[in-house]
Amino acid sequence: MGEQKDSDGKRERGIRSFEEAPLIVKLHNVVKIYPMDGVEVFALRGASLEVRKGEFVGIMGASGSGKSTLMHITGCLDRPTEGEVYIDGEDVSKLNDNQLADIRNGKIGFVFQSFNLLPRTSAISNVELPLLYAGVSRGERRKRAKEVLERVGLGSRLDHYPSQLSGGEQQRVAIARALVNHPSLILADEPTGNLDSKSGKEVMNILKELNGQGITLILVTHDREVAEHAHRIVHIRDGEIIGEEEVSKDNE
Amino acid sequence: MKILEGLRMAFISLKANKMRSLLTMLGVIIGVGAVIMLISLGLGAKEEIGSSIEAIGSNLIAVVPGKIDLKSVFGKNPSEMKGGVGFQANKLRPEMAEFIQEKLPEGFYVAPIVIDTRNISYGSNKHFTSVVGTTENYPRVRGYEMERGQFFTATEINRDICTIGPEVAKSLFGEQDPLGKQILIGGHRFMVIGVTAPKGSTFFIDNDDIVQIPYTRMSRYFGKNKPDNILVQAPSKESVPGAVTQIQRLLEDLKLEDYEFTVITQEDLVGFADSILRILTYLLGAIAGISLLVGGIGIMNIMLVSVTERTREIGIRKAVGAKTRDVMFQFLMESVSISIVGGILGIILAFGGATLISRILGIPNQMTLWAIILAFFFSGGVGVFFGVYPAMKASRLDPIASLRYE
Repeated sequence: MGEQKDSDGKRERGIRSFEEAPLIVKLHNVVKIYPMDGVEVFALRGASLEVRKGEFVGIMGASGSGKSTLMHITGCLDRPTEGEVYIDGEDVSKLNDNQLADIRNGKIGFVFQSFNLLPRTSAISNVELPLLYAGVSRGERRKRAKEVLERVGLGSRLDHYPSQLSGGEQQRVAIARALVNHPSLILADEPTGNLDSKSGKEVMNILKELNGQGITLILVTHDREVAEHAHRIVHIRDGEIIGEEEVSKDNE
Repeated sequence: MKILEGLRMAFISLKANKMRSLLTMLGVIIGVGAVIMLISLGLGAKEEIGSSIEAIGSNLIAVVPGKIDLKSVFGKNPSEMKGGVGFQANKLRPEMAEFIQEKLPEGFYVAPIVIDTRNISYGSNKHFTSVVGTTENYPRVRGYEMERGQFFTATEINRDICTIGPEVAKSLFGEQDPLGKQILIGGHRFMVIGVTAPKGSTFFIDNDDIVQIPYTRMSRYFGKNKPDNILVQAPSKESVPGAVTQIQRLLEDLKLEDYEFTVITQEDLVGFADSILRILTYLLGAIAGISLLVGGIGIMNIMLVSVTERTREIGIRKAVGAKTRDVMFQFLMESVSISIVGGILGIILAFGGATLISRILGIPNQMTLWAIILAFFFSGGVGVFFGVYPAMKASRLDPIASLRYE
């Protein structure tokens, strides 16, 4: 994870420029059609999006707008029906399931609204999971999982089960899991949706801190307040990107 | 992913559902347990029967009433099994034994055997046992030694005398000396003139819990004048086949109408016992196999349930980078763990069961390493075979749909 060259300066108010940074996500005319009861449903109708390294982009839209589909395709959980998707310069739209799994494992970290931790599995084992599939040895996995858990402030909760943790803590475990394999991109889908406002704020602070350390962050939400933490908000409606706005940071 | 890692994960997951895992294993436990137990008891019984047949007396030939073809009893032509013991008029006579004895060369000993069961008593001590009516050749033919006294001779064939086995002696007389004592056999008075030496059991029949009387007494007091069989002791193994043909010809020469008999050698008996045992083993083996099959289906069933239950888990694993084969491997490892742990428990069960049964029935059991290894790998195979389909189903789940699954 390369340090952003302007990372010290990026907290300044106003418009930041990532124009020189390389593209980490590029969606070009992405169409996604789901067959549903014999009828074709358009989830995305030619969406295009570019995200540069180190950016924090919010994607806003009502439910059913296609923002989840956009996130799934960006996150290599799904393939577009048409169009191209580039992650770190690599066209992933034609990759097979196992190749996509490799991309997810090595380049992308997910943070979900419902945390999606394995139940009856300790926090540290949950965090180790991506490393398990990356083929990292057991000792190394422990070590790295412990490090990231400490980084999100859960160093004392390593062996707790999700059911023993608060919502905010569970989401922090999920963030640790997303981080552990040094992804270049973190995708967060309503990460504060299931949290009270205090835990939500904590989680947002962690995510922003990570972004400050150079990790690209894409956050999907329908909540304006949450989206305003981003540098840039992309609006999506009916499967189309309808607009973009730069956020001026005055509301911290 | 390494196998050890997979096994570790599988065990963690099985431990989370202890009761369910155990119940699922039960089919394999019983199946494997049954297979090993049957193999070890079968091998033990085979050896036992072999030595039992030897213990009847070596180089023995038996003439039995009726037409019995030991080779085809379980063969292609069961209809050839005409008559059989007890179903057809028994035309054996004690005199035939004498006749055969006369015609056979030196070194052969012939004894008719008339078997009955009677109450016997001495004073207030009562005992129920087998009574054999025979001739002086009996000890030689059956390989009995005398512990005390002696067996009756040819000249004593019309006297009310008997010899008793050590078990009978113990039961009726305790520590007393039975020789010269009068005992009642089926209400008739006999004098004990000898006690046979302990000989053990053949075919679960106690050779020591028995009473021998002259065959003439059997006919006179108990109305049994037809030998159940006539035993011929050959001097050597080589002389057996010749003697068989000779005895057959001798009996045919008697030209009795509607006369059926069979001359059986010890080798026939061993073969017969072997074939019965083989059929029994196959049959029980098939049942054990079915039990393993059912166990396997149980594993498949539970694994399918588990895949459905853990759809979300599969989605999570895929989202963080699990490949199709990783998920497949994980679930396959679980089903294999169930079946292999089941197999190991089955082996332990078989050890206990075989030891217990062999102790109760008095037959030895032979735990063979190959049976254990075979059962172990077979149970592993069951796990793989019945685990493949659920594992494939799990590995093919769509990550998005799985993540949304509630």
